[in-house]
Amino acid sequence: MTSDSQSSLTSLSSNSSCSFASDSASSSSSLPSSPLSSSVTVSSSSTVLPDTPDDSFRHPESSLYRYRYLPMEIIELILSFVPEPFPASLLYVSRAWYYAARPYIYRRPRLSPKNYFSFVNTLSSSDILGTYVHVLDLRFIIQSGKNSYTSRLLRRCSRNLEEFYAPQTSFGYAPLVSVRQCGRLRVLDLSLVSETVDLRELFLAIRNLQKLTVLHFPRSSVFCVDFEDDLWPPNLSQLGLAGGISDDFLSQTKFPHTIKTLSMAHCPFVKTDSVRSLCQRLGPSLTSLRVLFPLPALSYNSLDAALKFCPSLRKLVVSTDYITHRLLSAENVPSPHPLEMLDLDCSGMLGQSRKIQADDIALAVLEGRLPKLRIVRASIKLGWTKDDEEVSELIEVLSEREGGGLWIA
Amino acid sequence: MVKLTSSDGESFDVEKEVAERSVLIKNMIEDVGDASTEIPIPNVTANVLKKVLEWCEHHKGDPILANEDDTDARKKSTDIDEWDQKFMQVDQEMLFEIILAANYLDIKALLEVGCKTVANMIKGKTPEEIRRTFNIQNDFTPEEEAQIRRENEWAEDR
Repeated sequence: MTSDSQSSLTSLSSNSSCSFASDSASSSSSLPSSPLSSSVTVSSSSTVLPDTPDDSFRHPESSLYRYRYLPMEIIELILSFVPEPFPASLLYVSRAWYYAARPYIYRRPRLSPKNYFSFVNTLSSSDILGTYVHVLDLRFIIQSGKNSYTSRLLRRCSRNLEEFYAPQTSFGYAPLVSVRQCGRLRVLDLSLVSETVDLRELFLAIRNLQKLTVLHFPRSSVFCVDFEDDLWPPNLSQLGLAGGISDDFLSQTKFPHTIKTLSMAHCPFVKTDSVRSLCQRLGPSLTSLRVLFPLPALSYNSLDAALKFCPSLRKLVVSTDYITHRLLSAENVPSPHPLEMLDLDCSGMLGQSRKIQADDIALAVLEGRLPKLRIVRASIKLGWTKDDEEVSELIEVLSEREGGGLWIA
Repeated sequence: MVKLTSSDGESFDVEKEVAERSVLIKNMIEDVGDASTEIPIPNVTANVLKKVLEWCEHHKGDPILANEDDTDARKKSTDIDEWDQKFMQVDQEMLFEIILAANYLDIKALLEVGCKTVANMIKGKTPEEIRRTFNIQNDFTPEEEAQIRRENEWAEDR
């Protein structure tokens, strides 16, 4: 090592210790009364690296720079081409690589019960690492989380978080409040949450999220009693309804017409009339509709008029529990419909498998009611087989279309 | 034709279209307004400039990469076309020189091919192997390294 680089390293570490001092001061002032629980300990006293690289990495004039070494922006560009999962080993090559690799390591952390505590610990003790997180998926954190961890992670990651997938447990009031700060959030998926979520609090948390386009309700939300007009975030395009939403909520709430994709499952209280009226209201703008078992208060033919109500639908996913062959009848499809994909699911409950059959679909195609239909997927529970004459006729009809076919899964 | 002079004084006569793969040279030609003047390239030596011009010659008809759009789609792939793969089969020293020259001369497509080549080379390598391959000095103190291990413990065995 030349004496030149020796001196620059000395100056680097004196620089780093002073930036660390200010860093710890700011973090302790911003979180005065939130000590970590005993299982999580912050080891900050031995921190030697500054939180952000100093300028010596960027300037060719710096003594750290050597012509044959790559400048920081080129290391960053190289790392941008490294495919995910991003290898942690790249952190340990050198200081410059460490700073360049961090944003990629933290962008979409892969979390499991095994590394969750350690991740919470790390994020808690740094002001900057959380800002690198764009996608936070806690769906695999089962029984090991706490509300306070979820909430703290959301706060730490709030600056750049775009997608959040809530864990099954440990998503209560505090995390919900933290969601408010995540101004860049595009996806909020609470579909696994089995703790009770007050929908009013949920709406309060999301109504100002300008970028939120995908929202999946928790399975266990409680009734929403009042139906204000401007409940919804302004740019919502995908909505997943689930949980204890009431029939009145469905029939009386004003849903935004920005919604293009609507899905429904696990709603024990919604009835046929309110689902029909919702489809009718949102129908003109919907391009994708999913209605899946279990929706125990729906009747056997609740969705028969789905295509009539939704004239722009491209994709329909429905449990045969809620439709009959009349879904595709001339009465319900009075003019050629743009549907491209039909996905028939089935609960497998007694009597649900013969309600709609392959020749109902083939007939609708042959009679010109579904000129764009290319893909049909049928649940294996419907019992369709290739050897069946009706099924093979449907396959023949579909495979005449480009990319078309029948999938049984 | 354009005359380019390397840092070590060697001159190259190249077609304007070839030289203009470099945004830096293109802007210089526009500024001078006269393509016949000699353009000095003070940061690039003759052996590297020759190699870079070989690439520019092969790619002279390519559409110029737009600056920021569809970067995501491009970044997902580390695919490199066959000619470029062969072109990049050089020693580590030259590879870095090409990347640095592409950066200086502002030849985005060449810079990306170079960086993709390096990204492919680091796949599955240990930090020590990467340092050895690219002649990078380990400038961590043992304390710093221990700190980084602690901080990123969660990202290890996955």
